[in-house]
Amino acid sequence: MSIANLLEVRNLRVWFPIRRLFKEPLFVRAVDGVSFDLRRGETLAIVGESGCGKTTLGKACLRLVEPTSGSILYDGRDITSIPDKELKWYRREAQIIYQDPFSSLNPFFTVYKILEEPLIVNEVGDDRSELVYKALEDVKLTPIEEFVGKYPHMLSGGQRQRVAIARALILKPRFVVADEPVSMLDVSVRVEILYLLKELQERYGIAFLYITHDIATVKYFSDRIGVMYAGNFVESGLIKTVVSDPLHPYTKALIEAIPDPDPKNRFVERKVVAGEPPNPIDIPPGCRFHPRCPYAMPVCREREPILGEVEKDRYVACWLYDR
Amino acid sequence: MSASRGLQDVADAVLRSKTGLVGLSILVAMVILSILALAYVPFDVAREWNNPSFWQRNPRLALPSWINIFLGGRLPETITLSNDSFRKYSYYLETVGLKYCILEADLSYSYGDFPSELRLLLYIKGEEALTTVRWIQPNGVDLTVWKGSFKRGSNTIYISRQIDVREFIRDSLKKLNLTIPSTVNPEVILFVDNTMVHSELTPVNGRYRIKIEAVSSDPYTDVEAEFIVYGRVYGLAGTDDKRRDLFVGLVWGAPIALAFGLIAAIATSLLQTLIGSLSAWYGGFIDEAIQRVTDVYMIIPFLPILITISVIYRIDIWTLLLVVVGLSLFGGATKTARSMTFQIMAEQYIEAAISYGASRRRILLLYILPRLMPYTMANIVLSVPGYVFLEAALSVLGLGDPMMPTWGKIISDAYSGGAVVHGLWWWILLPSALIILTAISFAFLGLALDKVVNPRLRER
Repeated sequence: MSIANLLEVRNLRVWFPIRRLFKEPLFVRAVDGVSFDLRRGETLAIVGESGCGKTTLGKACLRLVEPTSGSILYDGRDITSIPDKELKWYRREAQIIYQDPFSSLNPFFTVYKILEEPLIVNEVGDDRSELVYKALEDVKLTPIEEFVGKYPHMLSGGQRQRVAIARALILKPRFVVADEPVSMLDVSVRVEILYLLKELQERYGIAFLYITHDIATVKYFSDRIGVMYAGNFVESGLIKTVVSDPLHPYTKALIEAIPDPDPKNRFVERKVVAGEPPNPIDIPPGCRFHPRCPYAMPVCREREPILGEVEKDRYVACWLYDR
Repeated sequence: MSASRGLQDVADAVLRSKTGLVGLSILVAMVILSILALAYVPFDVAREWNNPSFWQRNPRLALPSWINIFLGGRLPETITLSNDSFRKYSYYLETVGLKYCILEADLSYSYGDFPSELRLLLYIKGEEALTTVRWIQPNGVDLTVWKGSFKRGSNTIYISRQIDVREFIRDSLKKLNLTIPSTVNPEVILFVDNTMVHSELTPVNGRYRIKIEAVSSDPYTDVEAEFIVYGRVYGLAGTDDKRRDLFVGLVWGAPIALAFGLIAAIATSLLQTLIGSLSAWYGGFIDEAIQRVTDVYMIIPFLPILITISVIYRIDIWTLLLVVVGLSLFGGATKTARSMTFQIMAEQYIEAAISYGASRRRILLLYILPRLMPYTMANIVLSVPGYVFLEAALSVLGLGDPMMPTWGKIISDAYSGGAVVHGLWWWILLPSALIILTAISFAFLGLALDKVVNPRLRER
């Protein structure tokens, strides 16, 4: 394990069984053999369509979902299958920010209480109110006195998400999973929140796993990107190279689908991937993308391509680039 | 902080709606009544509920006295002439060796109806005394009511009931050459003008006098007397066939009914909610076990089992309460609380709490149970009338507490005392009205609380 890596995920599988009467159970293969590294203080964006398993991957990294197989190493320690009781230290180290700021805050707690809870639970701090005020200052919810006594339903979506960020960061974690943190917010506050995350990352050196379906927001807040399709990575690399020069046909299609604000291009026909993503119970043999791939070859139907390094820090799982 | 938010919702809902306010004011009145009951009607009085001699100075089956407002004060109240209101003369005739005691008292009577009963209590000190009781009407007609000898100690002449009293009155009427009605009770004859024939009997108003003459051979003989003219109205709620003041029973029934209903409702609702959310939260085998036990509990016929237990063990009201709670440990609220818990568990702040390391117990107690509080509150309020009715129903069936004066017990007594057949309405209607009033107050509160439980009805 490289010392630069905070998190190393190897061949991680999360399969959910569907029990059937008198028959073998079926498995929903939400995450199916994912490997990646997350370096200290960097942001890895995980991009993919709905249902491709990106949220499950994030939760599995936090041990909120039990992995079926594979391994997760955090700071050199294997946390894949240690019991919940021995995971207490990890609960301080790793936090999550949710997509929906409406259900991610306890409606019966005030902002102060919401932020105080992680401190109480982890027995942190002699003066908890100081830490709470500091956290609110960090997320720029000012004047602080005005917000501490409020209940979540009195806040706007953006303000709630700031509270959720403050709650995730109040324990000074080194690893945060941001699960679509801006996708339910108004467009006007999205970039603001992303810049806030970026700023906090720089200040505290937090490594983010930024999960999103919106490849357009990735460039504001990511160092590297992993493109996920039907439970596994199809391409990963530095954000600039992947976005400017996508290699995998699926990545190309995703980037092609970003709305173009230039009115000159309004009549340009876009290449849209035909068909639907596969049912995670019944993932096609060979390459997962082959039924929709415009470049599908016979080998794609038979053998699954592995994520291979095509150039430095650039990995693609496609037979087109098999060297 | 969290639970108080639930309480605040409940309070808001109650105070902001008319039904809530009406229900609350009835309930507050009921609670005040209960407090007054405990303060003004001492516990001794309630404890004497089943002791007939305690109530013997009350009229039997008297209407509530406020009925006189509608009848123009026609019906008589009870008039008691105690020993002090008798004028006493006594002398000892040494020549014949006899002691004479004469007691005299005046009674002013001004009602449109006859008294229900007359009773004279005599306490003789000394040797046996030959006693004559005379009744002098306002028009001067002097009737001998009773003549005979009394032994020492207390003696009672049941003027209305004793056959010999009628004979004495008839004899003295005959001596005075007055009309002799054939079968009219003494309490009527003594109050009508016997000098003429009536088509309809009405009491003569005026000053009556009762005179007791006792003669004894013992010079130390003394006589004490108490004369009771039982009325036809009594107190605020009348009396029953055992002369008990129903007001005492009704007032004491309020705290008992409220305590029984509230304790049963609070205990069953809280336990069911708690068990339901535990079931969902721990899941797996615990969930399965609790759910199957709940199914069995919901199928068990509640009332027949309760009746069987009451019949076999003759339990008092607090044991009954315990049995009711025991039989309702699992129920509908268990299922509802379970499904609500599942819903809350799916919310992300619970998962966020797991991710910052909150323990399962902390999440259940601090994050989930407070969310169930509004539902539990409403459930408590809505199930109170059910338990009040249950206690009354068991009492009517004769299975309630035999010692406590509960509303149900009074209705049960009324039923067995033939109140329905004889039209003794106050005996049945007053306790029923109180039961219904209690039920209505809680139903109104429940209606107001619907807004807390059902978010679609919320105005905010």
